[in-house]
Amino acid sequence: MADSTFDAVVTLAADDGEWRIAARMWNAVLRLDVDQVAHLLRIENGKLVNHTAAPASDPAATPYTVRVAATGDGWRELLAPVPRPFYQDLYGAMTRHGFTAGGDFESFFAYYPAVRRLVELLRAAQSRQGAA
Amino acid sequence: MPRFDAAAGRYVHLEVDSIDYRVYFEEAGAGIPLLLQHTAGADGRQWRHLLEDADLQRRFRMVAYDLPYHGKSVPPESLEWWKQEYRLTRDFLMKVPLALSEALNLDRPVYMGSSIGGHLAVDLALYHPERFRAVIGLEAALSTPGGYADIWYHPRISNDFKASVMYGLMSPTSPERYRRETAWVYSQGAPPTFKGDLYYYSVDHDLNATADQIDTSKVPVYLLTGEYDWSSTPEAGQELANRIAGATYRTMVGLGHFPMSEDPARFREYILPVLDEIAR
Repeated sequence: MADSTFDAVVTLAADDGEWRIAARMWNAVLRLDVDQVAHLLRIENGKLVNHTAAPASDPAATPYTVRVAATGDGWRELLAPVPRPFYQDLYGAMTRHGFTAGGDFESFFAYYPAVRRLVELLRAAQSRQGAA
Repeated sequence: MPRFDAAAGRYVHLEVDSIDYRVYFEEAGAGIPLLLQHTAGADGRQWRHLLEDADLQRRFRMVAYDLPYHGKSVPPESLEWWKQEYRLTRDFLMKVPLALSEALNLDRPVYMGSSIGGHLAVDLALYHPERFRAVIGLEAALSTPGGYADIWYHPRISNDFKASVMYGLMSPTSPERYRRETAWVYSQGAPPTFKGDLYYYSVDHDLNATADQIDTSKVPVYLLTGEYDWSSTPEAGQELANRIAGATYRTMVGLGHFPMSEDPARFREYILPVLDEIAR
């Protein structure tokens, strides 16, 4: 996944009503690992403020609140316009397709609706870039 | 002129283990009785589309009920239920449709349920085959371990979490309005019920040692599982069917864990042939 996909999500989230409701009052750094690259999405009071990237082993990739990791192929499956069975949602992908999560699980589960929406926005961004 | 749904709701008092339970149910149609059981932590609203099916109304008396502690079936007055954590057992769950059948004078009803309701279909077939003319298990399996976890009833995690995970258990091709409605119903369950129901789903239901004792000459068993159900998978549904001589199995392409509520039109394509066969 390109950096531009994550950058696009920052813009998409700013105008997304579902994200705004689901992420309300959330302060977090959501780290999404794609192969060996960590994408850090900073959320302040429910607003997705920026995206940075760093090698997963780099100190710049920490600290984070919640980390979700998978291979590039796994993310491509998750973000397909119509995903294959059990890639339709992050929780299913964690259960059946080897996605892993770490960090503050209370925060992760309390804000799962926001994370789920973020995945949908990534899917939309990926789809737009693929069509361009 | 006001427009009414065909389904009408009322309450019936059921005595289970010497406790009076005031149970809400909705019904529509006339003919072969058909009991409809909801999924864990939800209620009978999941069946609202099937209840409105005019073709089925001509042939089936459809009864969708809310388990005690779910939907409009409030906890019993005679128990201090607030002093112990809610937990659904196989024994209690089986007694509800049996008591309801008796109270409503249903003659060997067809039973259909999804998820915990699907598991219940095969448990009823094993333990009470004489009481049902057929059972239909949606999203049923031999067992589904691992689900009974504290995250489903956590003081700092709201019902939105459950609703959101359930949203992801549905097919991405199901109409969004119905996926949202299904999740909405989930968000309204009393906080302890989903985890408590998963005690049955993941612990108390286990047919690994007994599935092959189910006798389909006494009660036909129909099993169907949604393609996108990552909790009780099509593979698990097929595995269950392989263990029950005479059971039929079909994967419902383009459906997930909540076939009856996430895409009622597509579900109808799968369930109508089954109900037609039972009605013949």
